[in-house]
Amino acid sequence: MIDIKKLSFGYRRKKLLFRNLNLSLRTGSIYGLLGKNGAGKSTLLKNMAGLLFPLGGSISVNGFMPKKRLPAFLQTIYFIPEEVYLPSLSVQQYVKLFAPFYPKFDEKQFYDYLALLNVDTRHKLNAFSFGQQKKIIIAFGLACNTQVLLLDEPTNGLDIPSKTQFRKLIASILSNDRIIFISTHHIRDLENLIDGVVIVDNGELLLNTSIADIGEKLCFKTVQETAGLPRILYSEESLAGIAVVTQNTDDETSKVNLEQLFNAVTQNTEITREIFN
Amino acid sequence: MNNLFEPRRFWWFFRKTILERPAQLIGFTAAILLLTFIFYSIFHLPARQWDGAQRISLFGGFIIGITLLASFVFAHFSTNSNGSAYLTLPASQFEKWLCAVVITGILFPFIFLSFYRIMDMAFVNYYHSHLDISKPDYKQLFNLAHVFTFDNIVSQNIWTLAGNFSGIMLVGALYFNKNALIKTALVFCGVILVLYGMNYLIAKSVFGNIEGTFPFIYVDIPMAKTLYHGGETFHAVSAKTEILIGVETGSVRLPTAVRKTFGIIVRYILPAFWYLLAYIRLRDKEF
Repeated sequence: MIDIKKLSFGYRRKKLLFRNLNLSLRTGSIYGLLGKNGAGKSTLLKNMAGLLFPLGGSISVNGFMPKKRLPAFLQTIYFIPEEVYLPSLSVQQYVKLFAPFYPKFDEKQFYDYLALLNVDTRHKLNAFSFGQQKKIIIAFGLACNTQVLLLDEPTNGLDIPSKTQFRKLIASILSNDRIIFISTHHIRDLENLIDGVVIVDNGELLLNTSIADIGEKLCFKTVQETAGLPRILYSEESLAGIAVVTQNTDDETSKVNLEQLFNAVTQNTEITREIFN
Repeated sequence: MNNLFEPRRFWWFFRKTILERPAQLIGFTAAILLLTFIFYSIFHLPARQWDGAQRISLFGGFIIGITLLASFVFAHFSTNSNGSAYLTLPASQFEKWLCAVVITGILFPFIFLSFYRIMDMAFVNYYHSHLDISKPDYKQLFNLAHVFTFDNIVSQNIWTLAGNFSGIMLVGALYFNKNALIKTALVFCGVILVLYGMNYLIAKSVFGNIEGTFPFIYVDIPMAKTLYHGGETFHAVSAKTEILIGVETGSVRLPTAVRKTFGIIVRYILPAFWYLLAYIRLRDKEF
């Protein structure tokens, strides 16, 4: 469980990135954290991991205050930053040196994940390409079996087959006692993967709800004319017609388009709030 | 689970620290030992300057070694990925700090001083064993070389400098994410220059005509040329502590207790302060 109450944070006190941000994430879910460049996605993850400290408010992760960085807390989270660090060691040496810190680490799982992601384990870690290094860290992070997994732009540097494998992997490891929180601006990489969406913009939490809830309250469709449609939150012309996001007043069933959802929420903040609150 | 210290977890962290960057830690230590050997050889072999060779190699090797090593042990913050990995690894801040202290303050000194003593003994014994016992100047030549002791005043000053420099570098590595060694050295030189300048101005305002000063060490005062022995410069310990007048020595000394206290501060309290500050900084480190 991650509970953020009235979080204020800024790299400078006079210019806050977050002001009184409230966010609650429950276990057993995969959340996608969406936001524009500079919206503070990585900063929010770093606050959760205890790498940055709130200026105001509180953060509780698994009952711990992250800023204390207690070993008991750090054992329950694994943070994969956008750029990864791997020392000049073999995969086996890396496991020997780093795995003991994580009591639930499963070596078999680790090698299975590596095989699934097509990583050859015979080389030194720092000799791998960036994409391969990222896969190793992802496999290691998943095999640590921590309760919270924080991933910052995990699909950056992955090729198309690896992205597919990544999605499969993430979906397969979710359990009722785990939270997976993925920050990305490659929204399409999260399609069919996440079951919760968190959108931040201008230091504010614009949306925190489940995909099911979004499907109930919003309708995503392509129409030829927009006249007569209820509350259009977003529209975009395409070859097939006009793609629109509207309030779902007729209990229609539609597939949530994350990119359109993001644009709808960031462009119509107030209407979105009315619909979801 | 003990969130402050667990021996097993500390061992994992210590092992990881050493083996994660073997070239930086083990390789660097080996390079310093080699450098010390070269120093010793260069200064000793041509002119049999035992004392000079022993002092310079101990001073150079130990001070350079411990200072650079101290700047390496916390050098994890030059990249976002490395810094995040270091801070989120499940070991306590105390264990991470202790690991740096053990490497810098215990392991390196132990390895270096063991090597130094063995090297020194080998050189001295070799020299002694090749002296001709039948020659009349045997004893005189024999006494030119002795194994360097680690409790003389030179050694004590070296330990003081090493304790302070290594502590300052530990703190600097946690304040500056990139190029910490250079930035810390620049800040340190800046502080010394400011101290020097302030000391000079204060000494000048107190003594008037002065030739040179060094903070906490001396004030050079050209004594009254017309009244006493012309033009001589006398060396006094610390401003206002020792003034030589003519052929007589008029001493205004700091009380012994104050001087001892100052010595204790520089030798023990200041290094302990730097090391403690490093712990506080690591605990509060944001990245």
